[in-house]
Amino acid sequence: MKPPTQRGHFPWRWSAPGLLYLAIVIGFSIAAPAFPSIENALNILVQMTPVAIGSLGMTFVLLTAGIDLSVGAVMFLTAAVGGALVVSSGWPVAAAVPMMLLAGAAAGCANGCLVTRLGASAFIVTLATMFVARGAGLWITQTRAINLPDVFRGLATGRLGGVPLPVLVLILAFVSAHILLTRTPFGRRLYAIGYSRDAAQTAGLPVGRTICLAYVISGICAALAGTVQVSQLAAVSPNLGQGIELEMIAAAVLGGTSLFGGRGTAAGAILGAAFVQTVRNGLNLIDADPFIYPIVSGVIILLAVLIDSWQQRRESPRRTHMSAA
Amino acid sequence: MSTPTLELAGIEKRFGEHRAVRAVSLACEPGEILGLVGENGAGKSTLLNIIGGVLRADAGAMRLAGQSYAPSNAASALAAGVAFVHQELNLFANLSVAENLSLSALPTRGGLICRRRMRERAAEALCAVELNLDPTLPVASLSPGERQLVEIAKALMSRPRVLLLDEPTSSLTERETQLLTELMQRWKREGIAVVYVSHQLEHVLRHCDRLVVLRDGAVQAVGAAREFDIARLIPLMVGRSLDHQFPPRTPRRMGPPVLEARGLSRAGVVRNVSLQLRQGEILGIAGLMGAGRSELARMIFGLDARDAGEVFIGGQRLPPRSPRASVARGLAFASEDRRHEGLLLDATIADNMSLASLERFATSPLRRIDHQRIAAAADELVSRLSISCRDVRRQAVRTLSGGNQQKVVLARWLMRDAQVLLLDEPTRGVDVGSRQHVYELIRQAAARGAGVLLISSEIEELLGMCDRILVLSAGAVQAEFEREDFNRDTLMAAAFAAVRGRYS
Amino acid sequence: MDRDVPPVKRFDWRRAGSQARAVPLIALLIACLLPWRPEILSLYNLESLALAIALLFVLAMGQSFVMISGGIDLSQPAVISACGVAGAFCFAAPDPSAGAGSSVVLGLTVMLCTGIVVGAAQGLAVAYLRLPPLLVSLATLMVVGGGTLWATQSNRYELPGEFTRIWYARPAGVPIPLLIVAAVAVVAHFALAHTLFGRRLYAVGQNATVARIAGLPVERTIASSYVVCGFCSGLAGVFYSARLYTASAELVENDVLLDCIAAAVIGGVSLSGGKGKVTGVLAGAVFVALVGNALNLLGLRYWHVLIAKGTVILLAVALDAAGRSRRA
Repeated sequence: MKPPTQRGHFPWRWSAPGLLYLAIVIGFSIAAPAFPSIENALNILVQMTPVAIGSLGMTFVLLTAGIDLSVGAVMFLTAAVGGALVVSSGWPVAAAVPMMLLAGAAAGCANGCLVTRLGASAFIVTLATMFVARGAGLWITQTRAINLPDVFRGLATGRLGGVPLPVLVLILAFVSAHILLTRTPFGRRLYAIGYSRDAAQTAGLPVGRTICLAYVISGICAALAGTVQVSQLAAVSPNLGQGIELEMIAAAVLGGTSLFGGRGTAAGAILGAAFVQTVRNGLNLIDADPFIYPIVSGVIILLAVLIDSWQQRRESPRRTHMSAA
Repeated sequence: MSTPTLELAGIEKRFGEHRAVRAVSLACEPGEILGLVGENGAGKSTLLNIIGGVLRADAGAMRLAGQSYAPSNAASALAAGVAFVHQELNLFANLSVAENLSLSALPTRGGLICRRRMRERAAEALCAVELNLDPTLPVASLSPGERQLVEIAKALMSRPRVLLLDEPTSSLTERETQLLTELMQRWKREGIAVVYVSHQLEHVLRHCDRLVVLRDGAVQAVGAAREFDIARLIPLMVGRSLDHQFPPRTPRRMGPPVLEARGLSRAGVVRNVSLQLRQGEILGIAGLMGAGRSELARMIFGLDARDAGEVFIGGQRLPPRSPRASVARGLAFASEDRRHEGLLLDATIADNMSLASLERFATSPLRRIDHQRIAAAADELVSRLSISCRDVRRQAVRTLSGGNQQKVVLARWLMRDAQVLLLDEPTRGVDVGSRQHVYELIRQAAARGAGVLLISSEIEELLGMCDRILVLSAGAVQAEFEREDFNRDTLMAAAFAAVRGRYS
Repeated sequence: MDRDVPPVKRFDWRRAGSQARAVPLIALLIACLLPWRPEILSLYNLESLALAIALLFVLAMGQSFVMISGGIDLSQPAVISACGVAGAFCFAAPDPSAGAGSSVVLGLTVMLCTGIVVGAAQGLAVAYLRLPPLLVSLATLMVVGGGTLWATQSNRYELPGEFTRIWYARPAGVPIPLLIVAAVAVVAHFALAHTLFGRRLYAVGQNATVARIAGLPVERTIASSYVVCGFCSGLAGVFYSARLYTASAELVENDVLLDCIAAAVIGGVSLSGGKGKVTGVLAGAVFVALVGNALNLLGLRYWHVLIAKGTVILLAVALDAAGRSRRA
């Protein structure tokens, strides 16, 4: 038979950004003695949880060659819903949180149905729903910040067996996402649809339903991320989640998810989010000028993408077609 | 007697005003291999799509083993026992072989995929096509021939009564084609009815039991395969008699070398290939799939990278990675993937034709484009190449048939008066009538002094058109044949030579 | 016989593009609002509407060049602010020997050049380094935005009167911004429809590989589209800072980016590249600006405006989809 060719199973697409990450960790460890410690590592994990959870959900959508720009606004909307339920209607937190997740799912379902029924690009649809969700959230909060009871803060600072609760939530989300993607028919269909929508249709796969479900998951992740974020701040402020969707997309792409669909992993999303947060954490520890943060983040993203692109070009030299959204 | 497995009666299908299928009736017995031949646009694919449930017929009836058969979609056709292996492969390269085989019905246990059962199912399916692969491999790592076999395995998994094969050999190597032939004989014995569509007429004549010839959507002739030969088939398909398939060779004077390649190499793909192409010469490149022919052409043109080697045009060195420089020096390249690398499908015919010559139509100082002149030049080429179309300025190239599309690609280079034409499978997916035109064009270009590098998988095409043939095998030049030594068998032997050593 | 060729109708809706659909939408919108807010057609409102359209159109036009090449530029808001600030720095350190007029020219040049330079940098990254445009422009947004913030330390800079008078000047009764926008529209239309660059841009956007094989300078074309976009962002920076008399790192909110992309997409520019016309972008800009203006006139709160804008975009998309399926 054929001589054994490069029959790789696992595309180590993020190995180069991985090396860069290692370099950054080493650099910060030297520059700030407080950096390389368990406490700090946990700190990073806790801080990165909202973006990480969001980028997990985003991965589902990106796999179908779609995009969800409304994630930040949905975070805000679900947080507003939860805040209103707890503060104004006196609901107990334990009942409010499931409602928030449900709201997120509903928003995701709306996104999914619009994208599949209208046949329009996900970019423009989720752009529009982003407007609507932010507006709806501002309506509920009347553009004022809502202060949440201390119970919420307990969610952020509490620990179970020494592990902060948010990190447990993150681990749970990651494990669920990974199983969904690799071990369920739904997950495999996502990859198929992302590779070729037409072939998936011809093969008789339930394309519309699968894509819709991807957006629902993204909505639930947005709500979960909103819950964690809000518990850390113990308040719902009008600019909650503003611009965070781009961070989540960047995290997913840094982790090896392709914007064209068909390629991506849950682990990659987590690593991408870790990347961005590690940099931010390191800058904080070395007392960098706060104005520097976005510059450094931007440069790091550029570097990581540069390395990844160079690597990809080595693997498939014929890829010359470039496209955006 | 036994009822036919598949019966079609009076099938009609229109697309707007165009009658794609006209009152087609045919029958296929169990264990029979029915060949379906015809030009592009004759309705073969439409007919297969109707049988396979992808399209609905406007009129007529189908019967499957005597029962009424009217599938509403591909899935219900499959459930009824009709499996369709498309020409464009429908596998998902980012999933594993096993996942692809079971995708529409993944075995689960408690909501999760049961990998063991999936692997077993896959191993069984692959066994049926004699493909020895690890089913957990991603399809991306398979060759086109292996992928085609996986597609066939997938179709067989449903234990079909009818198997529809649309150009199955287009991605197969000679060895895999041989395997397919053996499989077809096995299916015969198992009583599966096979409908086999192909442009490769010799193959069809040799391996099918009966033939149906379609022209303009209607059945022109039906009969046992042994009653037909190419000479009889072509007029039935085309509606006029052709004296020979290839334009007559006129003695040509060949000039000095216009293209020279020395020591071209890329690891694992091409090994130290050197060649010379003279003015007015048609040089054929033969070889099996994967021998490195297309890669060689792309390297010469500058589209793909090379590890070593130089290319010279008219004695001057060509920069290694610049299609722009190549085109400027008179090179032309027609990729084998016409739809993705040859044409801007949604652009007009005029736009496509003028794509390589835009500077010619741009007047300084603002580089204003002269649309009138472009349209005029395009019209001239349309009539010269007998391209059937309506309006060069407004008609999108996507609406043209494969043959006409290929002519547009060639027209682009003729408009530029290219001196070296690198043509990769220029007649793939092209109907017989257009093929004639393409051969004429190539001859004319050579007569005017251009050098032509012709890559083709059809030995007859190379034997009929070329002055010289190079045989590539496993990336290296295996043999070179001058016209007087042309011989199908020695050519094939050369193509296989290195391969056998590697595979044993 | 051309039996496999569908007849080409006289007026091919498929090629007419979305701009033909935006026009009836605009008419519908005005018709709906007229009974409630007749002042929508007042000269005063029309003028402020026209200026809003002008700004949006310039930005959307720049974005369209990039989108036609198959990319996207998310960095526009940051570049606008950066250009304004660069000009302000230039004014803050004047050359005492030169007259006031030349410093305005210098300031203008600096603003436009800043846009061009940033655009060129992005263009090089996308075209020659083959980086994905979404991430490159996102990184640029962060770097340039952060850089501007750092350079200004969050301060505002007042701009000299001679400069801000640009926005308010009215040669022959027509506000300068409108004249400039008309010029931009004419030049852009000419460039896209009638020049070598335009042909190349469309080809590269439709299929870069085919363009490359045909010998087109793919990288140069793509990079140029980003330079054009940068120039447009610089021009917008001139307008915004002149209108507001100040330059700061927060000259425009990020909302304007969404408006501008919406204007382009509603105007028929395809996100996957290769399609788009100036008339379409103009219609899209009119539409989006009109929606904003109408909502303002209706005295709605900010969140109503957001919800309404989102719904309107969805409606436009739905109408587009319905139109497409009816024709198919």
